[in-house]
Amino acid sequence: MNTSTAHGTAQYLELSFGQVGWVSTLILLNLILSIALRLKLERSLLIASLRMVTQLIIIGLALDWIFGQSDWYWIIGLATVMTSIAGFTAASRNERRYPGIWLDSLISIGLSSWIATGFTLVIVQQGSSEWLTGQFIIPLLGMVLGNVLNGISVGLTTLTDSFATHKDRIESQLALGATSYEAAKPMIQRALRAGMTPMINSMMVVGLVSLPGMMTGQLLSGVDPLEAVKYQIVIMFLIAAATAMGTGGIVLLGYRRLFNESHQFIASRLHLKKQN
Amino acid sequence: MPIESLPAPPRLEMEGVSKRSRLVEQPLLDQIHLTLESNEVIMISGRSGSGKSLLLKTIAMLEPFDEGRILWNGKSIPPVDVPRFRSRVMYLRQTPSLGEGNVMTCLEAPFLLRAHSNQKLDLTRIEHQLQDLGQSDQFLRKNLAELSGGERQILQVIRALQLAPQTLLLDEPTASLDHGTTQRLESVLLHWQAESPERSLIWVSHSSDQIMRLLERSNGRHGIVERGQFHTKKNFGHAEAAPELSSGTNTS
Repeated sequence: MNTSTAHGTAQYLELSFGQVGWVSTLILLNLILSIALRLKLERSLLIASLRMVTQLIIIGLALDWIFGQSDWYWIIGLATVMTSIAGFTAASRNERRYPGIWLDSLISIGLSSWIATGFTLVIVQQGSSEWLTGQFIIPLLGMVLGNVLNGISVGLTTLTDSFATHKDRIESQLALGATSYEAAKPMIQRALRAGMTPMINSMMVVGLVSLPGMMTGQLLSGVDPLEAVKYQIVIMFLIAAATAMGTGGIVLLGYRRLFNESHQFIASRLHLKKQN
Repeated sequence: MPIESLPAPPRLEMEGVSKRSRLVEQPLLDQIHLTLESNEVIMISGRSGSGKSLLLKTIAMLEPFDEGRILWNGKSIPPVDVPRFRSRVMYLRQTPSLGEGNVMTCLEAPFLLRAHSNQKLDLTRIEHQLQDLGQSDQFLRKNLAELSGGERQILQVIRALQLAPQTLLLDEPTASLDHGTTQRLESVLLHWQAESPERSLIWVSHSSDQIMRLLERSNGRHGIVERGQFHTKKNFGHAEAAPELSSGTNTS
């Protein structure tokens, strides 16, 4: 592991696997609570813990290897896999489905995250190619994807829910001579607002209530606080822009799927997810 | 003036319109041929679930269909003109959806739509219509959430009339009204229709009394929807038979 520090004011302390093991016993608290109150969460807790540890170790090994690669296609390949998983996850929690939802989710999350990350990398690299390595691209993209995923998920849920519940209202507006956009506008606005609210909230309280994970990580690894803050500001704007694009994308794509060019609302395209 | 002037072009035609469902074998709409002249009244009856509402929505281009075509003044309606078409050929739901706010905001809202941006709210006319329908001026200040089912139907009709449509497609517009108000609404609508030769009505009703009454007053035609099919008759022939049952003799 690399132990370099920005200004040498603090130093990076390596954790041993033994220490990690000790901390992981904290999960016993959850187990005891679950058993005592018969929450029946033991199985889920154990599976979730195991998944978390395994996934992180695998990604750790993968990153260790990727950072050693200088070929661009490895980076693009991993970025594509991450984007696909995020796109799938963003739509999978939605209670309602429509034909094309997976493609819409993938397009929204992919374009927004890649454009925003690409823009940031181009701005900050300033001629040096140091930034265009897996070490920067992959964690940046990952952070953006994770946040855009939430925006898309919330935006999509709000949009499909309000389309389903306001079917009569939409039909009534269309019957009066509204275009499909005029009829769908209140629902589109609601979905965009809902999708962007978590991001705005987190910008409001960042530093007051919570220290973002990335900044915490940098501080723990001994980076000068002001340097960590600069990074964090860049990240927050990056996430804000990507969330706006991603939420806007999914909401408009979803709207287009549920109306046809004759300004007809095709409510039958919207159906509830099949229960397992 | 020539003695035999050509008949005015039919305003609205459905030619062999069919709509199928993936779930049931019976088509929802089965080869429907319907012509509504520019100044005509058609009263439609039919069993629940026979496809009356679907027929009205399809005429208003609110529902896609699988076969056939709809012609307006002899031409099919390009997608971009559909909102304008609906602002002229207006469908009124059986259970009105009016949004939130009060009656006044509900009446004002449609003027924000592009299709009605060149028109203005005419308060005097609305007040007259309310009077004709036996409502006081207080009605305009009522909250939409407090309206009864009948008041919602009245409001839906008033909202539609002020938008200057040519054709109204009415889906049981008096279903929630008392007898007196029903007759007042009938008069308002028939009067509106007769005011101009360019105004037509398609009126779905479950009441054979109402159908007979209105056919007589408007010299209209009677249409029957039965399992997705549509037939018309010159008049309401068998007065004693319920309209749902009189399916045998028909012309169209």
